[in-house]
Amino acid sequence: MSENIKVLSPEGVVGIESCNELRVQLLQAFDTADTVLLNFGHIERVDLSFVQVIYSAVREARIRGIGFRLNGEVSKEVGEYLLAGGFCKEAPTQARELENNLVELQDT
Amino acid sequence: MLDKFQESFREEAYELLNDLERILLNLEDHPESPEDIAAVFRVMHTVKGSAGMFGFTEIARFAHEVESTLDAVRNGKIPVNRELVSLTLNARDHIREMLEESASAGAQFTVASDKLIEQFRIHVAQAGVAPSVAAVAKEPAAPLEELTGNEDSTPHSEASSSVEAPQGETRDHAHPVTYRIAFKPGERIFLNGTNPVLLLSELAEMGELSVIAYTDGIQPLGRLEPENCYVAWDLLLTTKKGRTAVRDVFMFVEDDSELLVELIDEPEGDEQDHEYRRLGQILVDRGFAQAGQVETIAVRQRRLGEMLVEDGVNSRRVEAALAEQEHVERSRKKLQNELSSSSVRVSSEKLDDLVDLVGELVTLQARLVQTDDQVGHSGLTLVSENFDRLATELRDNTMSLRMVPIGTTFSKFTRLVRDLSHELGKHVEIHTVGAETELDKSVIDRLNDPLVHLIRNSMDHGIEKPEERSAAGKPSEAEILLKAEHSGANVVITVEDDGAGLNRERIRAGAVERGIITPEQELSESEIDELLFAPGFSTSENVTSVSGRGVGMDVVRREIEELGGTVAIHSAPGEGTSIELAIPLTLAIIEGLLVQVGEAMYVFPLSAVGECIELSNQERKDNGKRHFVSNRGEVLPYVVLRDVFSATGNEPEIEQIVVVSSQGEDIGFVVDEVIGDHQTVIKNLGRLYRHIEGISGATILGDGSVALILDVQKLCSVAKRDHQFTH
Repeated sequence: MSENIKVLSPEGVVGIESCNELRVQLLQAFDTADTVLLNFGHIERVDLSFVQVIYSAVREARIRGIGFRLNGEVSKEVGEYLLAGGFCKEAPTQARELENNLVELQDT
Repeated sequence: MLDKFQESFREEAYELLNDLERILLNLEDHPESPEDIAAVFRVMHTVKGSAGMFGFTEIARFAHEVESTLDAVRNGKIPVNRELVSLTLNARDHIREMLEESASAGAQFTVASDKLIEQFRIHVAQAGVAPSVAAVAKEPAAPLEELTGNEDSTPHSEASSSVEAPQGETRDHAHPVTYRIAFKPGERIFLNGTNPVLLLSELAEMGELSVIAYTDGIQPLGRLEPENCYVAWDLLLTTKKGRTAVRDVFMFVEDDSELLVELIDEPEGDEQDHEYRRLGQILVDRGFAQAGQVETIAVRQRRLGEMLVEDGVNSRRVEAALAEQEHVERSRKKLQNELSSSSVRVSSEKLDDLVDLVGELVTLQARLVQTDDQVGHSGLTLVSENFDRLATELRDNTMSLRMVPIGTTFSKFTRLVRDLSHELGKHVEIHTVGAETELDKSVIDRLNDPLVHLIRNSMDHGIEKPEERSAAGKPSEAEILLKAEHSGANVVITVEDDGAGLNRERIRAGAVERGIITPEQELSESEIDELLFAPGFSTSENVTSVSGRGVGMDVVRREIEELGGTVAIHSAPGEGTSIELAIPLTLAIIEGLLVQVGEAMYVFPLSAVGECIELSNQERKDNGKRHFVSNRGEVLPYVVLRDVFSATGNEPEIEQIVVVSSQGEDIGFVVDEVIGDHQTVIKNLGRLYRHIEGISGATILGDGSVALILDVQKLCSVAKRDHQFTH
């Protein structure tokens, strides 16, 4: 049986103005897919609103038992923002590193 | 005592204003940089607070008004643009001017202050800001007591305070202290445009920051409202800043947020160990664990953190407490390391006195060596040799104390280029290389004017207008490179532009017009370039406020030569011009070559000497009036110093020629005898002798007699002028 994978690729600045749309897309994807991939490759900058959506999505996926993967390159601005906010110990360059390194998400 | 504190404030304020200038220039290029906007605000806020505290009431009043406008900028109500940067730069210059005077002389600046404040007010009004902001700028200055406040006696913080902080809070600490900042932004904080993470970045600029984020408040995806803030932070900041400066970072969000700024560690630097409070103590103090709970678990001899988590304490709170322990212990260790190799601020006058004393010691050393030679006692020789070694080490160490990086001067030119670019309608970027190169402080002080002349000339004459550059296939933005590098006993400073280069036809025509040369006179390219240094020479068709009055290049050369340096110019048409200033590292004590001419002693700066060759009396007689010898296959012109100084007594059978280099050409100076190298402590000549051509100073020899120090470059130019040497 083939796995149903949904890929989301937000672009440019992903912040307070576009995060609700991303949140809704994630919820829909969680409802329909076995695995959801969020591509960081086209994201230039983010704000705290985006970070909150990611945290919430990781937790939601774990509760539902759905695969939620982060992939693609993390832009310098995004990496530095996550570091400055205390969400990771080192600025990530690859989104995959984030899956296991976002604070408070490692062990839950 | 008050004067001492005021002096200390002045020194600190000068540094702050230098920083402000640099940040403003950066802000002009990056007008949306929140870090720079915050930094500008912080500098003005600090200057205001400190000025009030030390009795500079006019500075405090003025800075308060400027700060009000910067508040609006920080709040996003006024955009940063060129005009605002110019106004703030003018305000910075005005504060610097007021600082030069005594604190009580502030009243004389009131009119100028009010004029600038009015310009800020107009700018705010034109920016279309709500009347309240414009009104803020018009409000009278806060009374002094409001600026300084009272001493706070409680070591730990209050939960919230919006009035000016107490005096003990506004001043910086002598050593870094650690604050714990618990920050929970209001849920609707995003809606007023605040990005809380940028506040954390601002804190990080104040010192060492550890960030512990709490994300457990983030709502499930189905209920999450992206425009709400659910994150909170525990922050550990180690900084010298007072609590007010820390709280100021949160100035615009404090009302809507939960904020606790708590001083948790204030080391004196003499702590014998770096160990901080135990984990259990931190958790109990924070109210996340009970004392009894910690005691019960501690007796089980397992890792306390793990057991507390098992016992129901939130794991993230335990992590935060561990982070606090780690952060404070690391900061304490760092402080102790810094203190063990700390620096002290010493006034330049004290350093000058020290150099003078070392100069006397070097003179005494020379005398001791001479006495030892005369007495020939082995015990005295031993003492003399040890004394010589120690005096040399002391001299080198003392001279190195006066060395400062030339970057302190370079940074001023960024502002000059910015202002002139605007004035001349040219786009010019300045780049600096080798800002860390060190030179004697007294040399650096005297370099400022020549460099200003060169940069002004370059911008006015060298660099073309943007349209001319584009037509010539060049980028419309021109570049000036300011470079410093070591070259032997000199530092070479280069001012290079990518402008049009020297127009030699026009230089030649200008020289003919002014009668400096005849129309028939044949000149090489370098000889034409030399014409630029003729007094009163100018090729500029228009006299501008920037340059073109024909004063400049001759002044530059004179000033550099007074420093014992040289000026060289290189230019290629259409590609640009480069001017090199070679400056001796120090002016106080130099290595010299001691020579005798008749009965008198003279010193050549050793850095100028290439070699010494013999000249027999017979050879000189054979030459007659032709003062040339052949040296390594090259014709070497020479000057007989006996003639220059009208020396008496018989000439020796064999004389010496000291060969020096001047503007790429070698010239010889004939002396009776070369005595040898000599540590030369430079003494200024009295007023009567100061303007003698070819003499730059004097030094005292070991036997107490005086030797004159030769101004080699001047002697060369006089020789060229009087003897008309040609190769």
